[in-house]
Amino acid sequence: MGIGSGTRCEYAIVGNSAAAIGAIESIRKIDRDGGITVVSNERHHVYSRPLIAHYLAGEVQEERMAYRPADFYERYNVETRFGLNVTRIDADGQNLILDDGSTLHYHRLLISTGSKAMRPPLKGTDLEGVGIFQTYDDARQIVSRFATDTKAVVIGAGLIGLRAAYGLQERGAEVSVVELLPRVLSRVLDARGSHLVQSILEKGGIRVLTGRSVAEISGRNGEVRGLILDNGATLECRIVIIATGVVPNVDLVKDTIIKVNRGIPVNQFFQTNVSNIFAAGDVAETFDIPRAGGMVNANWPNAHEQGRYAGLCMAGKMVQYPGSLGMNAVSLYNIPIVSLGIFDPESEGINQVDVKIRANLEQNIYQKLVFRDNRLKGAIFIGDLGYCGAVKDLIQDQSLVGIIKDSILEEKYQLYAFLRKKRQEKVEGKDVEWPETYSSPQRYQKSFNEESWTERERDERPWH
Amino acid sequence: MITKQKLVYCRPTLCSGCRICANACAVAHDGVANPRLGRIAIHQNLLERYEFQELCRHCEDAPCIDACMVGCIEEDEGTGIITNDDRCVGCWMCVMVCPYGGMRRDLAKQVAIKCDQCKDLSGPVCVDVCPNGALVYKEREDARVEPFFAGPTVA
Repeated sequence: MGIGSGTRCEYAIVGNSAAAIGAIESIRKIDRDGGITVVSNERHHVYSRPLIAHYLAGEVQEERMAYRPADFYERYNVETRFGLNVTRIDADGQNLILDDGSTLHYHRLLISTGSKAMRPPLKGTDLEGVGIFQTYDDARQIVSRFATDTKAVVIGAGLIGLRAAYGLQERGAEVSVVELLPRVLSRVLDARGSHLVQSILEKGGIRVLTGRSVAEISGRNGEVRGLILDNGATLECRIVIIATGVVPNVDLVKDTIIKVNRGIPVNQFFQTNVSNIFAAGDVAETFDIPRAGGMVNANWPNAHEQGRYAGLCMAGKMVQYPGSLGMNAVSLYNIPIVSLGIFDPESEGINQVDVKIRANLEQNIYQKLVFRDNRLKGAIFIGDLGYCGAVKDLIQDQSLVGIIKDSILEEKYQLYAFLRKKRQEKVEGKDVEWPETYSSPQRYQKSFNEESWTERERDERPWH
Repeated sequence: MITKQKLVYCRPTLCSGCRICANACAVAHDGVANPRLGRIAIHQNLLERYEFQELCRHCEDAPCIDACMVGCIEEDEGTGIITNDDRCVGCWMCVMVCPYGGMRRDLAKQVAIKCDQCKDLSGPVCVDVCPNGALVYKEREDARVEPFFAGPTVA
């Protein structure tokens, strides 16, 4: 499989989004003259998929959709093959066969095909005005069909569905959301958080119908006119967005020697079971830190990070990936919503957990932390982000946080003392030189002393 | 390649929690004296008597660059300073991943703001204004790893 010395290494990347860009950037940090070819079925310069909801809302204009500057590919010396599909991977001959008949030889291949939207078997999905909401072209199609005072329906109240609904409403549409499950954002929040978000949406003017499925999409002259629900009710609408969830896009590697589970399982160096074929991003099944097992964690930060690590490994610098973490951040009506890791242990059947909650539903605040074995496993922040970055860090390195359980949400001194100790060198420096006049003004004890902590833990010494 | 990058370090025992740094930062960047708009944040609790400083570490392989879905957080190749620009849409992905609390939120504009080490001025204003000398602008200690340029290796 190896290539001879002196030969230029040829990298091929399938897909052109976060993971691909991360890989290109990190390959070029190490290998300056290897050939990189990006194959993508979309014709656009790299853009950000989560941003299409903001484009739909009219917050972001067309010229600002690019994820990287216009000269990105020239600057990184990348050959682009846009608008082409890969029909087959010839793993033995190390070739990609493209649908225009050409072949592309590679030494290292990165599969970063991302997710694909599920299309439920509904009658009327071929009507004009009905579409999924995943790519820039989808968003552009919806915008082109838009007239003010349009009525729109979004099927599916997941993250994509709600962002799409919010975007449509910002543009001036009257939006309803139909969800099969009894609550919104069931993959992102727990029941209490979902109900809070649902009330936020309803206050904002989006009609939410939970526990309802769509029987049929009806239309006239090939155009969508309405929607019939399972209880016989009809909803009049001109735009229907189907957002019933995404699955890893593994079509390319189906029935090949590359193993497929839920996604493409990879090792800590992002290799699939074929050592020179790598996978990263929403298509890869990586080690999930809080669950300690394989999991597809499809989100933007993970995808770019995984692409970055995969690129280093592809170029020969084998850096171990510590693991991924399920995380989501979204802002609806200026209310931030963040969820991290195992946020709903009951639904996953994980017991022996310790849950801390701080809620003020009148002010749209709901915070939740999930502990197990004195380690943070997951969190939800709605309304008040608190110190969610530090919480994410504590989940990611799985440090023992038993003694500060109560003080994280309250943001008490104990949390800050813990964090200070954890990051002292980074924030305060090892040997900061001080002006003589300021030498040792020991005003009060601020150190983090484990012995006193355990005393306080046992309630032998009360807090003052 | 980055050599001799400088960073703002804080000395917590000298900090009195006056928030002059945060005010000066907001004045230098936004023209208003509002400590909530400072790129440096000071948490203070007079009852428990602590001050805690949150400031950007301009990390190597920064998680905020990974997280930014707009692509508006960028690292300057020469200086290593990480900045964000006005394309921000306020998705709070960067706020979610920053372990140092270096990403701040401008709630009025609904955008994320972060330290740029006052690269257009002579030096970080927070360091200049700190009356206790609790902030120091010095060469970073956790030296950035030099990228090695190797030929393609055999897997």
